[in-house]
Amino acid sequence: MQFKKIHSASIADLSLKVEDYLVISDLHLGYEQSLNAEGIMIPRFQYPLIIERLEEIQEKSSCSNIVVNGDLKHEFGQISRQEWNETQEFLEYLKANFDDIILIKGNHDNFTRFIAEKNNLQVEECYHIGDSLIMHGDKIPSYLDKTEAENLIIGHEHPCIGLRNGERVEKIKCYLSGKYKDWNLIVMPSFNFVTEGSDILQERPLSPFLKAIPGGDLEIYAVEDFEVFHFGRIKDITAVREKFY
Amino acid sequence: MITIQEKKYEDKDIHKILHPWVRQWFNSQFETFTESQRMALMDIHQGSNLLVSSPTGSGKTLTAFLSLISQLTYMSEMDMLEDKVYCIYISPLKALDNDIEKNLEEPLKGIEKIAGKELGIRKAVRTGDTSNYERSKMLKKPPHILITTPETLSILLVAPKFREKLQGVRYVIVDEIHSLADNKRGVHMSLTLERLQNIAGNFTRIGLSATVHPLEKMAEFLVGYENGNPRPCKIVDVNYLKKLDIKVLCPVEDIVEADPEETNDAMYDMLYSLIMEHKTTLIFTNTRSGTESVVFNLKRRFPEDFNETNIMAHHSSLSRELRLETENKLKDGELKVVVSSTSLELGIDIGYIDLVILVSSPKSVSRALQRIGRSGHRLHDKSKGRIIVVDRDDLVECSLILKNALEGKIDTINIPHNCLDVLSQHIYGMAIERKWDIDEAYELIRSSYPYREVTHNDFISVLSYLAGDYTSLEERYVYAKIWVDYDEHMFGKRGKLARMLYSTNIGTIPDRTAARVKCNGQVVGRIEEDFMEKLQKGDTFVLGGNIYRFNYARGMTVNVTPSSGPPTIPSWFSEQLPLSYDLAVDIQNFRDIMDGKFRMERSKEEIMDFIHEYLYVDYNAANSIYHYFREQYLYAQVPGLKNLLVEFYTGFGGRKFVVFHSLFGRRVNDALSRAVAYVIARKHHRDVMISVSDNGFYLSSDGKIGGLEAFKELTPENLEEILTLAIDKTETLAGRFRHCAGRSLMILRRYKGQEKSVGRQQVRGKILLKFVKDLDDNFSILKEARREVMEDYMDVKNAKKVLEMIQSGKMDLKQINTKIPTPFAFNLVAQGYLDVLKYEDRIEFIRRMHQAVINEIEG
Repeated sequence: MQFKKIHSASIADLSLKVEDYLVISDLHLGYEQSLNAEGIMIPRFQYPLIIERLEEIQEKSSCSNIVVNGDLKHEFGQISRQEWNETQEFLEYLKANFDDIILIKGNHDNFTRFIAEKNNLQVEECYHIGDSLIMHGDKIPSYLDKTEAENLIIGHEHPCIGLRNGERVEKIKCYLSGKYKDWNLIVMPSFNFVTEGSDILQERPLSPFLKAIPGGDLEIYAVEDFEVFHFGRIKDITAVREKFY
Repeated sequence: MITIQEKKYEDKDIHKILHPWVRQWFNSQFETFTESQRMALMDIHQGSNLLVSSPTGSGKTLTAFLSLISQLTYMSEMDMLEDKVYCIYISPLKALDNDIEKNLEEPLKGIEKIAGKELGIRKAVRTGDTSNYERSKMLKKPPHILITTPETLSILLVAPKFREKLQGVRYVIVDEIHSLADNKRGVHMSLTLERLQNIAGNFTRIGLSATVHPLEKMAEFLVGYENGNPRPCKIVDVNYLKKLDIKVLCPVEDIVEADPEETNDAMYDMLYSLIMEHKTTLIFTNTRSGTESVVFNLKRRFPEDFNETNIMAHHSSLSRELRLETENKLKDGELKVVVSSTSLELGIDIGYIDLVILVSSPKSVSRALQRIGRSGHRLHDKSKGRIIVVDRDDLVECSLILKNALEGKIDTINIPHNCLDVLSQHIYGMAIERKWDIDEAYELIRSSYPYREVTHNDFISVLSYLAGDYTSLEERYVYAKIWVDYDEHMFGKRGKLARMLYSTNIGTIPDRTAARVKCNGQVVGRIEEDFMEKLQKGDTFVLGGNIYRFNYARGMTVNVTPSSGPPTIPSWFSEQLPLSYDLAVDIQNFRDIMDGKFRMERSKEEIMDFIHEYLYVDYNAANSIYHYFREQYLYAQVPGLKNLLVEFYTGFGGRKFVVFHSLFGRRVNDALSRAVAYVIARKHHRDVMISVSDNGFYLSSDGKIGGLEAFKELTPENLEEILTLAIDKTETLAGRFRHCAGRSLMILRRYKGQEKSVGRQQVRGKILLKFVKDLDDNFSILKEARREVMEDYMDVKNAKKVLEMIQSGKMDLKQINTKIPTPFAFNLVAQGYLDVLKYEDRIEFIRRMHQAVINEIEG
């Protein structure tokens, strides 16, 4: 399958293919339970969807290694039994299907270490593949100045764009690409099926990387079921958006 | 059997059934019984169910309570009063509850005075506001007369100790029943009454209602069904007693020619004179923003006469304290004028009002009567109402309202049916009470009028939802609210928190909060949170007649700047009241008659005389109506029930418009227009813009759309199916789904001690909708959301009737082409579009929008 390239990474649906690695981020396993706590009685439904999508991506991209770029699970604090089970099940799935498994720490991952260790896996701060540096992106690390990487790949932001026409609104997950200082920055969409994420045309960015980039100077690559839609820059869209209401 | 009460009893007959003290007290206060008391008291005494429809000032409270007070007096004298509730009074408003408690004070005190001792008849108000202390007091010494709201009563049914006190209930009085019956609060109450009956056994039901049509249906709603037939009920209708003095007023001589500004100025001058000629005036507008604007303009234009001390607004967005202040000032006669939207329609005590003014059409005859009935306090006072019209369509509409009001022709009430969300709540409540046999529960539910025809399948689907069948077995302990044992044919509650969850989350009114809109630091109005969520930077929208540009939102405050040009956000969240279908049909009949007169070439004089006589309007108004219709007739033809005019015209830039002159009210037109647009979109894969009003709808597109052919494809049989598809991706459905999920307790507002903000519920509601759609397209809550959109928000039933008229040849479709829109189409075309309909999957939508955005960028 032919993939759209951004710098040295290729867009394979909700994951990036970098050399022989698939990079996915922000799975937020156990999100349903936190909705329950808010009074939204929605049962567990996204786990099978995640596995199904991952299988399809692996088949089409034929990568043998995987990087989970942070926020594997949802809760900040204590892990519920179900969350533990789901995460455990997922790690077992990865072990059975990938050779090398890299876990990167996200801001929700305070307790992920314990499950990882149980599975003989390490939780890393960041990971290098060729000229790309992969990290979660919730903070700008001090080691960044020393890196020789040219490309930075981050998650954390859950970017999506909202398209509106009349009464209909659809949100589509997207990648963002732009320049952070001298680096090429790629922001990944979230690999979960609970929400599309936060609309970058509407909401303020979360990640300090994006906050440092002048608003609107990011290229948008929306993805929907393996199809990629290059939309141009944020500011190009905001300039013409009014025409579609 | 529902029967009309025709018997009127003499004073001496009624005296016989009253306790001597009660009789003595009554005679010391009143000369004789009112008409409704003569017709009602005896039957209530004998325990018959009764629906009393009577105007204000007819002694309604005593009609309902006198016989009961007498019985309680007997019991007290014989020392037989037990510590239990004998009578429950239910009203839709806490304020009304408080009024009633005060109104009972006087007779009870008076009777005690005559008796020369305390009788110990207790009454108490119990609502959400009642303190814990009061509650525990009520448990120890239960009130003999419990005054409450529908919601609180349904909570009491699961209160472990208090429900025992309800076992002896003999009377239930439902006040302002008409205001409950047409919405889910009433549906909810109806099931509550059946559950109460299950605890208490048979009791007498007394309903108090304003004028509605048909009263038989209201009576059935009150008493419910047994073995497939309505329980017996007598109807006391004494509405003919109240004399009406209603007039339609045009602020300018010729409303067809006058420009809007001129009309507006003249309207305020007219309001001013009317107010000054009367002691206290109550003005009704149709919207909250309209209310604000009338208050503002009266103060601005006549600062000498109106200021904060003598003019006030009263509507539901105002704080409780402010509303209470207004009510008290009214009662004390301190206000010259009060302006309200709907909040003062119901019977809370507001003192003496000698004039009611309606600004613009109230959209239904019953609403007009209800509003105007607030004037003239005593029974034999005339109710004085003036309807001021604001444009030519308004003039025609209000004239028909006048005609129907004077001739006693009231619109048919619409009672929602088979609401599965409300049903979920009640089944949960029932399970908390005790274990149930499935069939027994089904029978109980079907004894409630709105559920008399609920299918066994729908009932089981709700049980299955509540039992958490949609989740995996091991997760069920979180999601299942009840257990169902299909082998044993039983169900019951699950979880220790059940009672608490039920008590803190029941009710049918969705949580809605309004955001304040600020312009240059000034609050210019409020918008619903749902609407705020839609706004994006740079959007322009209409508020209170002005156009504003949205800048940003902080919390619940929206910052805007004044703007111009057509709004970019169509106002699909209209707070406008829809025109009632019956009234619409009458307007169409009038159009047909007028068409006939023009065709027969009747003289102007003759037609003017006819209008004057037929519509009860003055010659000024008759003249305007004559000219308006004549213009339409000369230009094209007058549409009506016999001819549905379909008008094709080409607008700016070659844009094609198809205008359907379907004057059937917005709810019907909403259903028809979306269905036609969907048929077109499916066929041509092209955007179709829709605009809907009470008087018709238009579709518009860049190219040929074949609106007429598409319309002809609709049949009474396929309409519902097509409409289901057409609304599937709309925000309207998403919004309604969230409300239904709340009522079904799939979204809990209060859970584990926390209140959830509406904003969060909204986002999460969408996740839930997505989940439910993927899970099962027939999930009971989704089914209910669709039903609510199609039957309550839109009016698919009457839309079907329209299609039947066409199918049977009673209504012809007449097609015309025009260069500029006909006079009747003018108001319709002048308003912006409501929605764009396009038949496509998500991926098609994304591809199309992507292409469109790219073209525009490269443009």
